[in-house]
Amino acid sequence: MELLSVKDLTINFGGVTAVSKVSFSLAAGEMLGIIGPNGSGKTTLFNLLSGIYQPSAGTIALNGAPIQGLPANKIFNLGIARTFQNGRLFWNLNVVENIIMGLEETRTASIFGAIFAPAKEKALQTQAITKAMDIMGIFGSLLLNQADKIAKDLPYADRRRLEICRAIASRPKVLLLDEPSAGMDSLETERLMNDLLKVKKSIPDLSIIVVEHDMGFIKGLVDKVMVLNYGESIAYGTFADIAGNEQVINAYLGQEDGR
Amino acid sequence: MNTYILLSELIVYALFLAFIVIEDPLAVVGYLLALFFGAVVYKKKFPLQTQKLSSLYADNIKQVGLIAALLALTFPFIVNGDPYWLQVINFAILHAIMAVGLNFMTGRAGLICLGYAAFEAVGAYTVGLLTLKLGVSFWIALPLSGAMACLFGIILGLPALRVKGHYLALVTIAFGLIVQELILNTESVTGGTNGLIDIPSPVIFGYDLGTVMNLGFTSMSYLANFYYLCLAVLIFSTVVLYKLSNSFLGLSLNAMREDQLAVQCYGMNLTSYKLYAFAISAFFGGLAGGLYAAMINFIAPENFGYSLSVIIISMIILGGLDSIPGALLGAFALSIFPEKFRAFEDYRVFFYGLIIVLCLLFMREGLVPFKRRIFKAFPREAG
Repeated sequence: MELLSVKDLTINFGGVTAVSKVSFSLAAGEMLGIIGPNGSGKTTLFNLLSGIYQPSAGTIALNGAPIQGLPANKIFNLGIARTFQNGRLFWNLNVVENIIMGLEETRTASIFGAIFAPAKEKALQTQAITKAMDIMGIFGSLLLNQADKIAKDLPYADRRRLEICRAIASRPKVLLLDEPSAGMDSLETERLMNDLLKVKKSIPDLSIIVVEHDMGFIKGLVDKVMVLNYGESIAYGTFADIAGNEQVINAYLGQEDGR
Repeated sequence: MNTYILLSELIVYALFLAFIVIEDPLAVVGYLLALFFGAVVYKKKFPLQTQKLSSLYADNIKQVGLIAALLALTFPFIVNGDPYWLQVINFAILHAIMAVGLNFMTGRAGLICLGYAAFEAVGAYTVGLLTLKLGVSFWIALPLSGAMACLFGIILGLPALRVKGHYLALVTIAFGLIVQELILNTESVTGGTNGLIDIPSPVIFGYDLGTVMNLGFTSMSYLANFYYLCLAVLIFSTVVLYKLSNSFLGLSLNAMREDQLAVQCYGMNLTSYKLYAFAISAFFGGLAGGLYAAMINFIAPENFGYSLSVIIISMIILGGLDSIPGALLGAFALSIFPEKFRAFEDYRVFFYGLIIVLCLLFMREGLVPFKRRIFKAFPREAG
């Protein structure tokens, strides 16, 4: 059975249809790339999948159970974690704390436990820190060496890494990456690709949907690609399939209207 | 016990006592300026020592608190039971309880509240009504005053859930006014503008806290009794809020302050966490109110007006938002300084406003900025 299946997903903002009848499905461990020009509805699609927006029509099913219309926090707890295009880290928290915010301990710890059962709280905190440090280990010592740094003091590329760590901390089933390479130069982008491959390798079951601008980035990474234009899915298939698609070329390069 | 901590705290205590002794307003200004520039110069000349001392304090926070509490026990004896100074300090302690309570909500969770005095009012009237009209023991009424304020915190929290930033500030101002009006207009219960008179003093094991404290070798004003009671509640409040701030809840509220959308996308139920912040914060405001009612024996709506809310928030801004030591320092400073400038009484609120403006312009982080994070990575073994 498909892990995530999206059918006819639509959202209207007033008279504008930002995402229109988008359908796709994702198997466990699969990686899907979503590309499309600016304003084509990529981020809106993510906001729908992660529960920030409620769809006007269509269904989203995780392991066969419908999840559309649920609030963002419930969707996260069901196993869909995301990153943000502009990197929404908790800027004044340190690296460890940012990752701990993704851990389930943070949400299950009892409030009264902090006052009445300090030993248990302490043990939970130690456990959470250990887990957070294990997760950072995916990127070698890059983040571990800066574990006590405040997030806003991190170099740009490491902020992206931290966001990915925070997102996978909860061991999600589906990871949504919103333009992870935005604002990076080609060298950094290449490193990020390797990082994602590392993540993929360390959690083989993790399905990833990645929104990207950069065709080259998508090419070497994903199993399938979906192309959005004006909120509609205009092509869906392997990279080779869509690369020759005329509509895709038009959407990306503009029509060659007799210049 | 660390000698440096003990010694430095003794020096601070001595400087504080010296400050109390000085009467002349000009001398006070001179003294404060001398202290301020002394601190600045010390920090500049001995940056290493300053660093060392502050990390020594941060690493031994429990010891620091314990020594400070022990030193505080001596205060009534040092002022020789002087009712004036005991009264001033008692009010400072009540303000400090409110400041650490408000700090949890506004500093830690980033939810601005400009109606905090309403919670003190709720607590004060709970104790006032229960002890005066129903004859309930103060010791039962005091926790109930916290609980009642908690309930009002949730009532305020519910409409405030949908707004943030400036709009939340407006909602909380309105809440403060509503509570005050409510008390004014339910005259049959609360006495309206006349307030509640003759609230009984707490009695513990047959000992009435409203009577002179007679220790045989010396006798002190009844305010000394209340000094110890208020101090106990302040220590309780500080310890509880310190623990909560350093828990997963504290971390989550900190993250919520940073980014409300992102925490939702990381599984946090924003509604319940906001209500936790409101309720916990309100609880301590209620406790302060309960103590106030029992100590002063008389409460009226005008004691809990908007200006009190502004005073409390200026305390935590001066001390440094999200800093418990800052809230304590801010509360004591802003409660005691005005006593030295009684001649300028009319300018009191002006003075608080000025402090908020100056802090926001030039000292965003306050006097004791909060730099210490809750969770830290373990030192890793080499290799």
